[in-house]
Amino acid sequence: MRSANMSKRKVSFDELGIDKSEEPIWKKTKAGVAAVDEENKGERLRTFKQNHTLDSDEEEDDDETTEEQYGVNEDDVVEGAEDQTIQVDEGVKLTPFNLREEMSEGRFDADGNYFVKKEDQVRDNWLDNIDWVKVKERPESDEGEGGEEEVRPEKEVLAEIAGLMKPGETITKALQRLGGGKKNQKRQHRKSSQEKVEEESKEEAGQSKEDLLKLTGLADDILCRGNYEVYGYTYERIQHLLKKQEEKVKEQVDAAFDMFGEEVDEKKLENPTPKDDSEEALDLSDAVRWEFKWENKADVKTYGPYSSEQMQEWVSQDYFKDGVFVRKVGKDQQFHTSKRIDFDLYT
Amino acid sequence: MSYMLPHLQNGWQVDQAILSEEDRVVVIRFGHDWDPTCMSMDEILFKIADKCKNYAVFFLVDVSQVPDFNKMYELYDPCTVMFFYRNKHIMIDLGTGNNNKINWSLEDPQEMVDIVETVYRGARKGRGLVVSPKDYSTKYRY
Repeated sequence: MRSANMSKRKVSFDELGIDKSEEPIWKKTKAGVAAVDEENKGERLRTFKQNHTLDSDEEEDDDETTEEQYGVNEDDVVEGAEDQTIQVDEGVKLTPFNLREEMSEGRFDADGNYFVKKEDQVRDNWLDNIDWVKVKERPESDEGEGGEEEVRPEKEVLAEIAGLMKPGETITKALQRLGGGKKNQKRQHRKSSQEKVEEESKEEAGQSKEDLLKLTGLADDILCRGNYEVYGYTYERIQHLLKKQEEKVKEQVDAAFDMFGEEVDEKKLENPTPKDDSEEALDLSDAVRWEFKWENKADVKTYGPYSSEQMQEWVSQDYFKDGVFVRKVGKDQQFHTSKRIDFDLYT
Repeated sequence: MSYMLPHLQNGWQVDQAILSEEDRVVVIRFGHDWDPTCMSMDEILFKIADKCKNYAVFFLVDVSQVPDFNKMYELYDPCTVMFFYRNKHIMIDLGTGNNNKINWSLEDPQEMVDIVETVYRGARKGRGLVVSPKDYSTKYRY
């Protein structure tokens, strides 16, 4: 870039006709300016020929081979590159327009980013001493342990969670109690200003912090199994889930003994998500369908039936701005204004 | 009709009824069996109890026998119907201004079915407040 600036200044001198003797150089530098302008227009990709790119890190060490491999040579890479010209012009130092120096100290990737070679400067004895064969052995054994953890049955995790919660709490509330409740305790004790009690509260806080971390971990474990509503679960719900799983396990055992018994779906046994939970309960109406009319009169035309999703879409699009009169499809259903009905509940 | 529906005899039973039901809405009528408003409400509740058994259970509480909740739930009306789901009180916008309870007697069983169903659907989706399909504000003024 320095050469570009220099040559621009040079051009202005030349236009004034001060220095005619160096015309050849001016021409050369002008060519350089043109090349630089091109580069600024974002044509680096072309000039650098999309060379050595993604797999750069590993190949940094043997630069010579890569140059040969990819045919990188600064002379044919940059248009208008020049060899050494004059060193000094009127007391101003000039660098020739080429990348020789840059290429010897680093390299460009296809996007034109420059990377300085660091191997020569940064050497680390410790890093050099690592036996990479040994290093690769270890992660596998770690994975083995991790795998065992994942297999841990959901039931166990749920039971442990339930142990940390109090009746009527959701997991979120339990976390709040374990984490935030601490402050209140401290405040109370400060009022009584008894040091012993404060120490006790500290111990309690330590315990609750442990519980907090444990509960967070467990809840996260459940979350990782694809159950994203776990933090909203109440103590009762978890107990219920536990009970259900126990029943299912029992059924499975029974089925195993009963040769003609139906096979139990193992997937369901492993993760009873809240979804199939709710599907079971939802036999009151599989899918509610709706009819509507624009006015609440007997002789007005009724439209439909439509699905709840469709109705919800219309509502959200403000299609029923002033409200229409809707009713569920079925016997003895009355028309109600759509303003009071949340179709989202039925989807 | 009150004798057809289960009564809760004390505060502990009421608590347990609300706490132990995990999949259904718990509908509790607070009042007196002999009260005319309660009588008509009980009849409606009885009529729909079987229809709604998949998503609601119904209990009756005598507020004289079990006064534990009178203050907490402000049970001063002759007949009060409240909804609970998983130990949580579900509010319902009836258009009356009081979203906590139904404190009059409905006339049409279907209306009650609609209300209970809305409560159930809303509660299952995690709503603490649902809107009843019918607006009762014009009929019952406060």
